[in-house]
Amino acid sequence: MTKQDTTHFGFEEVATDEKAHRVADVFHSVASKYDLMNDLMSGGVHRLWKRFTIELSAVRPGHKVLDIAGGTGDLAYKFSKLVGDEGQVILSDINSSMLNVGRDRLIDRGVNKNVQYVQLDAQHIPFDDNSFDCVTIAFGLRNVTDKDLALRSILRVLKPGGRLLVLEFSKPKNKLLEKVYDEYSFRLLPFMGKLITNDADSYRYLAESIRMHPDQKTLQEMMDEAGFTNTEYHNMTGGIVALHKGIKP
Amino acid sequence: MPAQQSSTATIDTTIDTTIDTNLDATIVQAITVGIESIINTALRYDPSSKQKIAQINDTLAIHITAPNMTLYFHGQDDGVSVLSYYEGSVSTQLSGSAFALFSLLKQPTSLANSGVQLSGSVALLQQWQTIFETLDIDWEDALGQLLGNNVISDTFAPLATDYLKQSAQWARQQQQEHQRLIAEYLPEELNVIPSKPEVEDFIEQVAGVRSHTDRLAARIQLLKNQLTESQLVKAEPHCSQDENKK
Repeated sequence: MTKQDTTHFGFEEVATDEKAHRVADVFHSVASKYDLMNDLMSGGVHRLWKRFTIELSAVRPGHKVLDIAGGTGDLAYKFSKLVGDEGQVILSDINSSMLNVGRDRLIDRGVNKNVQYVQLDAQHIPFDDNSFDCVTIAFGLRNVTDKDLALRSILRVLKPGGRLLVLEFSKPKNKLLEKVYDEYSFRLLPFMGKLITNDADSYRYLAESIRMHPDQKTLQEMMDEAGFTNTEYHNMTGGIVALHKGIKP
Repeated sequence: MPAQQSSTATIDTTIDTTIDTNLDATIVQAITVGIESIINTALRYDPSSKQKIAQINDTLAIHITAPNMTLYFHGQDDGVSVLSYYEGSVSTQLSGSAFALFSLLKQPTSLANSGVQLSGSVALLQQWQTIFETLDIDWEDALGQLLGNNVISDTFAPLATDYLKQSAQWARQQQQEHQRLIAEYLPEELNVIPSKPEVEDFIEQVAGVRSHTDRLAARIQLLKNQLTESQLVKAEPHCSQDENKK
């Protein structure tokens, strides 16, 4: 197997074709308790990270928004309120379990007018060119096998002037914080995963995949290379998470 | 509220692309969530004010210089929305240090010498101010919801509400009484500041001196004018003689 035929799955080197299936297994396993685990893992701070993403999206009534790897629908719920009846939100995920949880949650919260649900692969988005005013992908890009392909696919479906927002774990700016964060990720996180979902491996993968994800600067360069302009990123919680923004020229 | 500085109704129609903060975005978000929650919780128990806020279409920006961040307030159907990043136009902006803005909150009567700058529409600021000044929270409902719907709540909530109202009234009276006592104690007992009649007498004297000075200045001006006129009259005959020679 050549280097080009393999990719990383956490710290493991796996065949490129295999990664998507392994990632799918992880999210099938954690889907039902994904929100609870998010709250526990981040101490509820993930809500603040997502709130900042919503602000930076500058989505207005009438806009069309695609939320990739939308999981349990946190962002889609807010977007549905912002775009109003004239707008449209597509909540998408490659994983059917996650998408089902998201759809049930939004329906339970009374959202049924302007949100559609699509199971899709970020590398091959099944929408026409220049379709969306905004595309978001929160805590999803690191699980995509070919990130460059996904970025180019997103660029294609964005309208000129439309923006991409990538919310993702990144590299802490402070060495001490990085050390504490490592201890937390590799010791406490799998333990919590075991306790709540009886699945330590999935949460070990989450920690490993975060370390393998490109750092702030690298991801910005990848967005530039994909064709986005005015790219920028904002560190949050000391760089544990970064929000990248890019505009389609 | 008198404006220290006022300009056009819309102060920023261009797109703001800067993320205006030196604090970690997570902390800024926590601040906006905190402020928004406090305001909206209060508004939940005053539907009238909530309705008035929902009708405000313009955006109020509060720029805090230290620490550096800007918060944007606008009304919506379910209360107030507080953002740290906003790309639309802002009608009114207040700018100052956190301390100056907080001091203004405690005494929102004047911006003069407060260290707070105002730009844009004063009307919008007055709209917000009026709503918060007339905020009338239904404490009975708030406590009832907190305690749940049961016999204890039905009995306790009205009693606690009366107690809270009386306590608030007592606190207001105490504050007024303290202000009155301090006003008497400083000039009468410590003699560190003059009494009110002394200050008024002094102000009257200053006003008297000012009017005397004004009168004197007017008199001097009159004399100057008369002197100039008489000099001109003396000079005129010479001029006519010179013209005759020619």
